[in-house]
Amino acid sequence: MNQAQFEDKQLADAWNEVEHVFRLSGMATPAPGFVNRWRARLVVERQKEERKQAGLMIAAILIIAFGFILLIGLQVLPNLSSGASFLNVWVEMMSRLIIFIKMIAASVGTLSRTLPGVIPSSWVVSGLAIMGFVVALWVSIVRRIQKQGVTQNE
Amino acid sequence: MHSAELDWLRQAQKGDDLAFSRLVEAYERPVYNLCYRMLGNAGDAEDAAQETFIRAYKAIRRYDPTRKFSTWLLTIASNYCIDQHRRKKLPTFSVDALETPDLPSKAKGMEALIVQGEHADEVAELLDTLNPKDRSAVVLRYWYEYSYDEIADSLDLTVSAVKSRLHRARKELAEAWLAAEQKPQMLERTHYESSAI
Repeated sequence: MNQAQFEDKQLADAWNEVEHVFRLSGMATPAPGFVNRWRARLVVERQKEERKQAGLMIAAILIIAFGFILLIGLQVLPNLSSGASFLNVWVEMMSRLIIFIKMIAASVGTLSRTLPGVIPSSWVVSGLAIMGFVVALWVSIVRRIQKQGVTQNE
Repeated sequence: MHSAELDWLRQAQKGDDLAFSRLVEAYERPVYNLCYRMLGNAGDAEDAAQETFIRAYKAIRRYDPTRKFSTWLLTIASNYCIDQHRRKKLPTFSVDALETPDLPSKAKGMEALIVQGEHADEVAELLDTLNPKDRSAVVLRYWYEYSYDEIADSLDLTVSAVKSRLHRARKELAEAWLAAEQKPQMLERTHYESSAI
């Protein structure tokens, strides 16, 4: 047996032992409660996803708002004679915008706090819907009667 | 796949979380084992296995039922583990860099190996000598008995590439084994000589 053959045989024997150790090692098992931990992680992932979507929405709104500002600025810009007046108009517009955004934010905040309590229960909604239907029916009948009265008079 | 699993799969595709949880329960072990063999420690394996199921959950509607579900899951797991290796740049040791003579010696015999019971460390050190994709191929071949075609499908390789990677991996593993075997012998000899002096 030459050197190369000896080395090949050594490697083959070594590989057989490695394979045997692999087989003996079997399957690793996670700690008990894996599914529960996964469920908890899924909840966290969902919250992250919701925050991400909210962030994207805010970014989109900001981009649109910035676009509006730019648009208004471009319309105002040609009418301005100097840099100082442009700055004045710009500051005025920005302060108006900030006040507007604050107002919107305050309104949304108030609505989000009060709306859940104001939203009527399902039976109230059903009752209102039935009432609305009856009123609509009644109005249409009255109109028909009125029309018939007009044609008879003619 | 059992008919119950097929039902869970269909339900999960319709958005049923409970059905998906049952799939997680059914496949937690194979997925965890793959992650453990790929990453070498329980903490990272747990994290990777959970991430695999999160990714599968998000992509379940796109799952093609003609494909084997376990193969699909293990593909996600192995890709994630390979990515983790790339990101963390986990060290892959050369054969010469194996310092500790932890691998069992031939002289101990197979009975001794069985007595030792757990071979996690030996296996982890051996697999650590391979690059992530070769390691993945080895794990799929020797723990899951995947065919070359299935490994190629999972790792997005050609069948011939899989064969060549497995051949190279086997050679590297055998060399690592021999190197680890020779080190304790050298240590023993050095110890004997020094005491004689």
